[in-house]
Amino acid sequence: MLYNILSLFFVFTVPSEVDHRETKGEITAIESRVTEFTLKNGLHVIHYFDSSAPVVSVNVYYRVGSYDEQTGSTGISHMVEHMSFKHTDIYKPGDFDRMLDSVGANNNGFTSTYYTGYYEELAKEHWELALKLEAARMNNCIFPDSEFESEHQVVAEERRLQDNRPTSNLWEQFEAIAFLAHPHRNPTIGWSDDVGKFTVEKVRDWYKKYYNPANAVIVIAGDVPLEEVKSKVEKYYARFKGTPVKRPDFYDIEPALAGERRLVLRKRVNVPTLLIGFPTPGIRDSLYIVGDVVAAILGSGRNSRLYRTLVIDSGFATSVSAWNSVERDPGILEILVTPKAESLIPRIETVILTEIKRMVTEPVSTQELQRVKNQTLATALFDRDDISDIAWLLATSQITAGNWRHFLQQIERIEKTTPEQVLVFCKQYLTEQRRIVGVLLSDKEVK
Amino acid sequence: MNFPGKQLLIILLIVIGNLSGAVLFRDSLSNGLIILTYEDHRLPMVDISFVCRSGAVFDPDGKAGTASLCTDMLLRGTKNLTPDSIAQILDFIGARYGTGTDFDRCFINLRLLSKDLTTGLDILSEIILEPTFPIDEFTRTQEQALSGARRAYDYPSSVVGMEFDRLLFGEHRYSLPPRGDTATIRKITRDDLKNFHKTHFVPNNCFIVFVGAVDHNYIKNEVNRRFGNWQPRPVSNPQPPELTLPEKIRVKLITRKEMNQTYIQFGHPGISIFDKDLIAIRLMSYILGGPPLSSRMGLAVREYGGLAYDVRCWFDRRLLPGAFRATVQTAKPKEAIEKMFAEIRQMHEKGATKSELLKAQNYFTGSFPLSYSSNQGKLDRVTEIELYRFGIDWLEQFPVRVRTTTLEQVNEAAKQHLFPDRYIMVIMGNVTKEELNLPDAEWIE
Repeated sequence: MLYNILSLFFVFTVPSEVDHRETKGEITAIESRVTEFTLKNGLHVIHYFDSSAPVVSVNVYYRVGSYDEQTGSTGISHMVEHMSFKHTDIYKPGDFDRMLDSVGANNNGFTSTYYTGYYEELAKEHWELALKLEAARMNNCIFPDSEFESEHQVVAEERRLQDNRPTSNLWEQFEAIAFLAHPHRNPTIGWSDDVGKFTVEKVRDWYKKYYNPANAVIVIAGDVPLEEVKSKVEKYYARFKGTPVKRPDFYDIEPALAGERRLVLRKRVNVPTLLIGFPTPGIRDSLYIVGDVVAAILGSGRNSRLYRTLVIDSGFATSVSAWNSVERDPGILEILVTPKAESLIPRIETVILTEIKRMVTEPVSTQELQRVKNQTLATALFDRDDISDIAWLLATSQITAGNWRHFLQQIERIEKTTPEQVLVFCKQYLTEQRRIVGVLLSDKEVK
Repeated sequence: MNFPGKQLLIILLIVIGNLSGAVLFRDSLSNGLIILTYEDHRLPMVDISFVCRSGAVFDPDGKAGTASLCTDMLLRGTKNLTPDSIAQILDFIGARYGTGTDFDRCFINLRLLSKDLTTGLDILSEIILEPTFPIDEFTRTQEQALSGARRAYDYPSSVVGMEFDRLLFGEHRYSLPPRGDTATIRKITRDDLKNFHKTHFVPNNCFIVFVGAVDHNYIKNEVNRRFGNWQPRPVSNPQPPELTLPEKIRVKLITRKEMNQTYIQFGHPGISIFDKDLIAIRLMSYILGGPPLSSRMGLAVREYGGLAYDVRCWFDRRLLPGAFRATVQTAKPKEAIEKMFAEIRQMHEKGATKSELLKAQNYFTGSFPLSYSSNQGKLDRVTEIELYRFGIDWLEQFPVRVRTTTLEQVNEAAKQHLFPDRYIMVIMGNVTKEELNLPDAEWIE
């Protein structure tokens, strides 16, 4: 189809045959740049060498996040992340930022479902400073009572920011009805009541349990040689005691959907939002990556099926997008729509179901599949532009799949996906009875 | 092959070396179109930004959003390509692409694998030179813009920002967002887009930046082949806003009983990006309200006060004079406002300290090379250099300018450019005038 279009417009250069040799070569080259090693205390270190810019990215990830939290303590990993910027045995509040600012480093921390991560990106001559500060954060944080309350209030304010964003409310509550038992139902920042009940003792206990070398992965990416990485990591981290943490396995905990679930949220909004999800398998299922392909065919770009039917052909919506949220355990394939009007939502749902039925009954075209494959390969190459992106992929692959090659294997699997696999996947997972629907509507008091 | 002739090429060629060993070139065609190439052969990919120097400030009166809509429509159909075929080709080759508009520019960005460079250039020249603004696509794009403008009212931070701009900038184009507002977007016609394109998308008002695995000589020939016959036309300059410094604090209170936090934005007239004190002002505002964990405001409001997750202040950096702004979201607005006012007053009266300045200088000079270590970063820096005419040696000059800024200059900037207690202020939340305790304020109904 593409070449037919191009042939109509002879002024345009027809792309050469789909030749990905060079791109694949660059992606494969990632493997030759990576070395991994483990200290005796269990600290896993991944080194990615790239000397094209005099920059180093230091990343320390802990296997702790909202996945590990129980009712009554949701958000505690995030609270610890906040507190870990403050006080260690030798550093006082503000020292981390003062020292990193003074060498022009970019740094931050973040909490997610499966990990809590910290990173510094800085000029190569200063990279050791990041490693040294992160070592203090790993083993020597102290949480004085006097510093807890103000940071607790800061986190409460961060929680309120979520409350005042209508679409954030929709996401949060959609996840909560999508998962009845799995910790995916809890927001990373925690539920308001839980956040209000944090104590400094809880923070200390959480830190003590999860922050240690055996529960961490360090990724050092950039212009620093392996020998130097080994010696400096040894210098700062070998003396710490490692205590492995056995993470609970909730992979199969979620009961099968017994029927459609629906959430209607009314807020002061001018524009409605429709969110439709279908539970999809996690990474232990050989078909899981097909969910990414299906999402791209349905809702990625102007030529995706739902954009065409909802935005261009029917004009029922002004935007549509889709993605598969699987990071490790079973997740959701989500379709996000901005309806042109609230009254059109039932018709939009019908159009989506019709398109889903098509996915279940007709194989996708070779061109559609090839588009997704080409985009996947190009994106994989583009990700190499920024060492922080590569570092993130290495660290999150290691934490979620236990293997830093996971993101490269995903690319290979997408490349090998067949129309038949797409059909099998859609038949199994995209059924009307397995639908979760969230709508955000005006409360009628809008401007 | 249509090759209009080498005589059109090369009026000016400047080449500089830089820290990473790659090279930045600047060339111009005889019609005024400028080509900048930052060669970086690490990876077989290319980033392209086509920039038109006329942004939203050139929107026709009462039709805010014209520039934005015009730029979005460039991808929605040309003489030789339907909107579907543009998307099909670019999606099929795995390109990333998009358009954007701010007050100072309209742009189209394109990221490609190197092997697809000529395809990308063919499409780029077609959408810039031959857009047709088809009526059905116009209607759809206008509806999308309206939906975006309506959604902006669903977010408190966006509402206080828009209201602040309305109050400070009055009749000037800066009073509405670059994408326009619901009332103004509705008034835009297809002819407005055609006129905007005809008037502003002219070679002497545009430049193209290339970053990545490209050869400058090859690029200039390819650009010349496609854009060499494009005819220049005179372009006008935008009118600056007439800004008035309030005599005292003027407050607009928007009551929202359902909110559990109060959103605040306040400030006063600021500077243009060409201000002679720009570097000193940037250093000063970084010390005052830059990073929320270590600036003066951050320490007072967040770290010691526990009053907010985010608090900051900054001076707009635009071609025309903009605003000085401070923002915070808090459940304790009275306390947060008092602390922010006090920090601004303190900076105005007593200035920064030597150690604060040194820390800020270290951060600026240390983080600057990081900001262009990736291709995307290089694209952003080179675009900024050309748009604001900083000079081709800016990557070397900026750190020098930062290092040589003195404490006296920073403190003078605080005296000259901060005006304590003379603010426009917008407050939105479940709070009353009495609770805010601003006894000298004038309340805007």
